[in-house]
Amino acid sequence: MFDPDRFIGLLDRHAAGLELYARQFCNQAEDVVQEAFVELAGQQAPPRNVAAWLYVAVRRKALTAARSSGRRRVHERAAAERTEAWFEPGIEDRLDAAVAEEALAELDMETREPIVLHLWGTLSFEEIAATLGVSSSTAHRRYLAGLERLREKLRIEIDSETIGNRT
Amino acid sequence: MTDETNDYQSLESALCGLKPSSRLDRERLLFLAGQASARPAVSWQRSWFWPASSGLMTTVAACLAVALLADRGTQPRDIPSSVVAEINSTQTTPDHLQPALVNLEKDSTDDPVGNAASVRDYLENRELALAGKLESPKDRSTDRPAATRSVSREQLLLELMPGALPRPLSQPSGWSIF
Repeated sequence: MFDPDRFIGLLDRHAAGLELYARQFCNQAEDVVQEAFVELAGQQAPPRNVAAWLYVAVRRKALTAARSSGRRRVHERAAAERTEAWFEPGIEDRLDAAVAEEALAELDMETREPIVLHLWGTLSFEEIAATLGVSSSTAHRRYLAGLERLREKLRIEIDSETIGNRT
Repeated sequence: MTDETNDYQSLESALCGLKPSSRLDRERLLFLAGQASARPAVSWQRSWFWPASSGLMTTVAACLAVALLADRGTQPRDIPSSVVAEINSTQTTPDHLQPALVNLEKDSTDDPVGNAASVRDYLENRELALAGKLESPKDRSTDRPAATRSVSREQLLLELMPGALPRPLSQPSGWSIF
């Protein structure tokens, strides 16, 4: 049944990560996340793993939205598309948000999804495996491959930060 | 290996420091969630039973309509053989009906209803009516009097109650009660 306090807790904990995950697939991220939470509220019995359930629902809805927006794009101009920044710019961040977003966007979806789900969705590799429909070892291998590519792309920032920490 | 692991951990912590931007309308979301939770859940059976039932009934009705139309177009009329023979003997059947009647005569063997004279009268009346020569319909199917026969009151009383008339009635004998 619907528990408002628990629902608000889930919203605070997972909404931003879910939006970021939905943005990997489509531009209507907030609509997709809202639909997923509303669907969760309408469930008679709560899912066993609510976080994993939410990410699966968001993935499904985002892919559907991406397909429909792809069809619309045939008739609309690409200039009308809405693009949102993936991360909020922060002064104290060790990485530049725009640079990190660009590096992340350059990854292929196979390696990007485990990174987003693990780092910002705080899902375990078992939950990531269930979300993506792969084994947990495959999910972990893809995560490491993506992290390695990110490390290569962001080497300058990491190196300078590491040097800064050491000194 | 340790440096690589440290690099990964450093990268992970740096990436985790980035906060995903959120444009979610929380108030609207909570309102919609409350609505969704208050709405009674529709089970699979309830959501599909009536549409499926309606579709099935529509399909059955359409099939029956098609079957009925096809049947009406092919089924011959059942005319007893005695009627056909009688019609042929009177030579009143139009020429364009003869082949059909001959074919029907082969299939029919008896007259279960016994209304051959009625059918013959009907065909004769129809032919006369089409020719514009019909003044009153003929009914020779039985020996009973026609519906338009005029009967005097005396005759009727004599038929029904013989001996009930001690003296002759003074009314004129031409009264028509029908």
